Amino acid sequence: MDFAFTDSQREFRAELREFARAEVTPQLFADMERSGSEYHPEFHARLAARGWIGLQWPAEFGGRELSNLHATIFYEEMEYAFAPISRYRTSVVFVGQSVLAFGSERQKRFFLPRIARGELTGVWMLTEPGAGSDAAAIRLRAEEQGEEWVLDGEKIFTSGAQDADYGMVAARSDPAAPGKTAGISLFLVPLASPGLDIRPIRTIGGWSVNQEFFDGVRVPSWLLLGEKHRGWQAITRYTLNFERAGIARTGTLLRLGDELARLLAGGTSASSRSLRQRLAELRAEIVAARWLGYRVAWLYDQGQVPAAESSMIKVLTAELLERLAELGADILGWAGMVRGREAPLAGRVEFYLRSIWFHLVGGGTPDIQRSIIAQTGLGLPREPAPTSK
Amino acid sequence: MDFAPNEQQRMSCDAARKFFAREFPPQRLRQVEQEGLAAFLPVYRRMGELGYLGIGIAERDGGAGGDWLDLTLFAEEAGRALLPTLQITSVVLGANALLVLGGAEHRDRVRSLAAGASVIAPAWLEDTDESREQRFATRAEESSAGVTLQGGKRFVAGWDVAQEILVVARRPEEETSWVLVPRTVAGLFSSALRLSSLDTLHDLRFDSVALPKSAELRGAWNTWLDALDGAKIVVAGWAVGAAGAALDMAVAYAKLREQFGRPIGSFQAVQHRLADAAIALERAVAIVRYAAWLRATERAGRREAAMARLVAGRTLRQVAHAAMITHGGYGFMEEFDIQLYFRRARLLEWLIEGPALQQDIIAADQEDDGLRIH
Ligand SMILES: Cc1cc2nc3c(=O)[nH]c(=O)nc-3n(C[C@H](O)[C@H](O)[C@H](O)COP(=O)(O)OP(=O)(O)OC[C@H]3O[C@@H](n4cnc5c(N)ncnc54)[C@H](O)[C@@H]3O)c2cc1C
Repeated sequence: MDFAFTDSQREFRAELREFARAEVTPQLFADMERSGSEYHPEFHARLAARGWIGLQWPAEFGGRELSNLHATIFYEEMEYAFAPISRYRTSVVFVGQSVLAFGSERQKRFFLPRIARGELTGVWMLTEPGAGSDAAAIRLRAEEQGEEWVLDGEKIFTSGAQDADYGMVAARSDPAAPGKTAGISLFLVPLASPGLDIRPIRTIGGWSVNQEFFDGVRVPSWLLLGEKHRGWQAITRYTLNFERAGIARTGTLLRLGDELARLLAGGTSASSRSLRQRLAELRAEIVAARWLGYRVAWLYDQGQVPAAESSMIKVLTAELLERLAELGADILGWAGMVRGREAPLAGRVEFYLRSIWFHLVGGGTPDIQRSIIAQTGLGLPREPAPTSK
Repeated sequence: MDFAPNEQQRMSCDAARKFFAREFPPQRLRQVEQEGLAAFLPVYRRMGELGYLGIGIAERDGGAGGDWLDLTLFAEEAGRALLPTLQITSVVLGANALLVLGGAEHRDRVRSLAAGASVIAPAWLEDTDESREQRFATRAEESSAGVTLQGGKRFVAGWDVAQEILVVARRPEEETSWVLVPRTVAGLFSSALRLSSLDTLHDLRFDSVALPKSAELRGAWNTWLDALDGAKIVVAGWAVGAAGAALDMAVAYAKLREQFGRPIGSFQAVQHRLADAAIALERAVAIVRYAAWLRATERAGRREAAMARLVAGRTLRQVAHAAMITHGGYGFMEEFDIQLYFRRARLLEWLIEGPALQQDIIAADQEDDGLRIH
């Protein structure tokens, strides 16, 4: 065992920190507030210019051939600065990693360099009104017609579809297949396709997700991703695990913990002592989660795709974020309920508490993560109904 | 003992529930979120006309009669409808404080407040930790013309629609006084704070605000604390009412929403979470009504008021959380009503007095619980 970072990883972290100090400016947040989007195209372009999109990909596809640990360090440092990277995540972690894991040579050559250069962003379209936790229950229909597939149906809650380029869509390609997990295929669909209607749904977090209506959307055959009718196997083996490991919020946790410690420093009253004790407890758990996160990244570097551990880091960091924000609100009292950048900690305590549902529910609810951990990690038998997402 | 509401209480709760269903449906609440408290005033005035606002204040004092238990049961209905809490600050605390501090000469004021014709905004919080000690930085100094106010107050509720504020201040001799300040007076500055719930609170600053002698009320500090105790029980009622409605919505949704070919309410994870919510709620209702009864029957109950306030606030947070997660991704979407409950949970945990202060009150009382039997 060796818990030391390599020189390359240490230097990379320093470089990221320097970049974040210079580039994550109040202007960035003001821009996003104005546009009502979690995506900041210019900032994304700056990340691309540094060569930081697709860190872990082969050089021939525009990547840097770095480790997953480098990627983890990247997320941690960007989150520590509260940098906007949600579209980075959907493009790299959900779409890019899936293309790399089970895409065709042509798809790899087309998508990965474009994502790496920041020219193309992608989103993940799995959920439907009738298929949430039961993600394999998807009904969006894909029918093969000559050199094309024709897609009809609905998706819901897609993050980022309003201004992304491609959607990775899970569809039912063989309705006659036995069982709902058979007969699913994945497609990389241009979001500007005729017949594809994208409508916003407002969340209480202040941003919108999307609902999409597919009405005879034509997709050329080469954009079928992975094996025909075996999409579910690819999703559960790869995509959902990438997603869960990739949305761990360790950097945000570390930063909020440090900020709250500064707020509490110096207080001598009994109540500030008991708040400091609660924070100390949480910080211990956060650093523990950080090391679990590094271990998950290391497992990926060993060529494994650890399902139980990916679910663990997802549910653990989401719930820690909630508890930390709750503590922040208890520390701040009334001020912890105030919205906006003039509030203490730029309103982040209030914001994370209000939008904690994105972290808890996106990528699968805590119940579903626990079922996965129990069943694939501990080998316990399934509940009467199978657990999919 | 009798745990059932009496005939009168049943009828008035039933009438209140119908009134809110008609006059304050969720789309009305959403309108108030957009436009502010002014959009609530028509409903508020109607509540005054119907005698809802004056519950718990004797008729001879300008109220509608009824005791604290009647008021708390009404509060549960108001909480179910997520009614803005203007009645709590303006009448339950404001008007009652005027009565105990100022007495008969304020009857007309109280009558007007209880009728919903006017609004007062009590202002007592400052930038320090919440406490029950008289350690206000805001000062009321005697001057030739009367009294001069200097300082500031934070997180004042109801200021947007109030004609007056009631400022708790400290006199040079270290005692406390309560000063009535008209909103239009010179030297008074306000800045708005928007909460998670989309309610607007205000920070106020008093820069040598000059007022006549008659604006100052004097009284024992304990009468103010007692008024806070009363208001706190009513917020607790509001909170358990809101929690009850949130739980009802979650249960209904869990029966309706299907995943894996069956209602999500059939999954043990969902059941246990909602069962825990139901346990929390039943215990909260029990202590809130008990605390209200103690007050209604004029038994000492400061400790129980604090316990009820604490338990009810925690309960609403827990139940709203369980109800949100039961709704999966839909709970996070603006168009679903459950988020309205979630966004108000912390507000209803902190209004009048927050949880840490309740813990202090309970901890400071040396009496054995086993011997506190009424
Ligand atoms: C902000 C946000 C962003 C999102 N972004 C995306 C995106 O980019 N792409 C995408 O495809 N999806 C996205 N989602 C969708 C997300 O993955 C789903 O919302 C989630 O999987 C839950 O599905 P549901 O909302 O239908 O809830 P439901 O499945 O209806 O769940 C409701 C409740 O039932 C419980 N439940 C359901 N089944 C079981 C079971 N078997 N055992 C125990 N409990 C169970 C759940 O835990 C939950 O508490 C997003 C969601 C949110 C909130």
